[in-house]
Amino acid sequence: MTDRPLVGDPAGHLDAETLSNLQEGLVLPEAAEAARDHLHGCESCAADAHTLADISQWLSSAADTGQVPVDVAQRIAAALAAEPAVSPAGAATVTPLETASTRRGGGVPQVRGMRFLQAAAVIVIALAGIGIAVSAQRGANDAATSSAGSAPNRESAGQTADSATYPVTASNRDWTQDTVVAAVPELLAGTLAPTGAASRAAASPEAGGDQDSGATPRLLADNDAARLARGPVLAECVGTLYRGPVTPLAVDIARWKGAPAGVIVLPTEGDVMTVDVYVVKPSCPPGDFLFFARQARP
Amino acid sequence: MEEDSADRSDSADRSDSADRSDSELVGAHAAGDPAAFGELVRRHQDRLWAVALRTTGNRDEAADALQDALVKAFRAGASSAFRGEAAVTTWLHRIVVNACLDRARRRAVRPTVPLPDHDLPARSGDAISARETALDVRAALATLPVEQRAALVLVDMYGWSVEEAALMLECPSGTVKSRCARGRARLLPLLRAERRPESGTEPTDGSGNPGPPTDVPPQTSPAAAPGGRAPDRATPGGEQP
Repeated sequence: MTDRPLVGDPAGHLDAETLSNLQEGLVLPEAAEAARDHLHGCESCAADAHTLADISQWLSSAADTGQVPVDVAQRIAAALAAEPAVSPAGAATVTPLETASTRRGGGVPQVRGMRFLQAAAVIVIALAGIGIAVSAQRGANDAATSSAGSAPNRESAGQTADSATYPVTASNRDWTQDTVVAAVPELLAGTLAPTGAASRAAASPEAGGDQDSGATPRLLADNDAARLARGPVLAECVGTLYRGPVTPLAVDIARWKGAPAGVIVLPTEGDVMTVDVYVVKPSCPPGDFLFFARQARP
Repeated sequence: MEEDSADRSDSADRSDSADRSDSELVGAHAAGDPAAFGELVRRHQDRLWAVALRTTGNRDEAADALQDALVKAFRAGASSAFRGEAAVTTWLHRIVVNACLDRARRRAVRPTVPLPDHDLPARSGDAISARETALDVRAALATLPVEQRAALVLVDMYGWSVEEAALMLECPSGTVKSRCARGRARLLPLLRAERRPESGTEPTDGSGNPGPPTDVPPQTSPAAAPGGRAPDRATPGGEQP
């Protein structure tokens, strides 16, 4: 990166990064003092210091000041218009924004809290029914006993049959945009086999946690995203992704680009033919998911 | 404000929205006001587009990132969890920048092709050199690693403070400073080369070299930089109105 010798080289010049760090105050005091001393006596380095100091202005001179291109604005407007309108009553409606703009009023925001509680209740109940984390072991069992696209083998995980339940797997897979989308059928079926650390964790007898399923929640302890398997946390996360009460279709404790992440599959509001796949950080910061895709429902 | 809204036209409705702050618009969106988010988009989309364009270095990627980000913001804005967060502009920028970074990282294996600058006005005369400079700067920016590029786009190009950029990039302020410093260091040879053929662009001592500075110009204080960034660029966003 640097095109000049470092300090201490025979020429004794300051390299570009040292100069830049010096200007940002990132150089330790003693080294900074020595660098300044050098600058006072070195025209070449002083010239670079001046040029570096001008880079901010150089960049700002190229700042875009125009408007968003018409075609981009139009496609954004179309995408937003395709979103279901926010319903103050909590029930999602599939009303394009342009159409909705003729409606009036809209109520008050108090319903959000109630909707959140409803969502939390639904999910907690659902999680209680399935014993929360179904685990990698269950995923492995299901992979062996269920055909792709079939309903998850709940008995193998010690689950109760409940139409409101959904598969929670801990595959620990390092998903990518392509692989997670391709895995939607397995996610929905709960047939994901664990990989890597998940497999090892599944085999660990001392793993605590979900005793009913015989599973393995050491994996969950190793993955920050495991918090998403807890009902209230998941409910809060889902509340940032979906308006109104909803039961997830599937949850997977996994990774995204090497970092812990959760995959949450939700029904698409107003479209029974598709599902929405979200990849979220373990903290599930509102409005800041890692990936989103809308896929045809298998 | 809401009592007589039923009697107003759509244009009056938009005017009504324009009178509300960003936070009020987010709250109204969450409450089901169908015009609120559109007003928020209209208010910020130009700046968000500019940041997306320079962060991705690719027009199509920028358009995709901005669209994804605004759809995400539309959904997230309906959540009660958003109210009381940092400034809406910071939140919007964070979503857009993250969408850009995700896309840029995915295509990192492919070389970045400098943008054809449709947005630069084709003018004659004195404006030509400014246009050429802008093209050079943008091409140079596109050569940087995306994290450094994003930091410089926010801080140097669009004048956000280091602290604000840190919120948008979800990293400590020191990391933003470091990324800016490394990015500027990478750009130094390019700016040096741009200036070299043109004598007189820097103060010289007659030997072709500029005279020594009295001190190291700090970059952390925009107003103090020799480049002379306008003080008001430190807060380009903020809540509106």
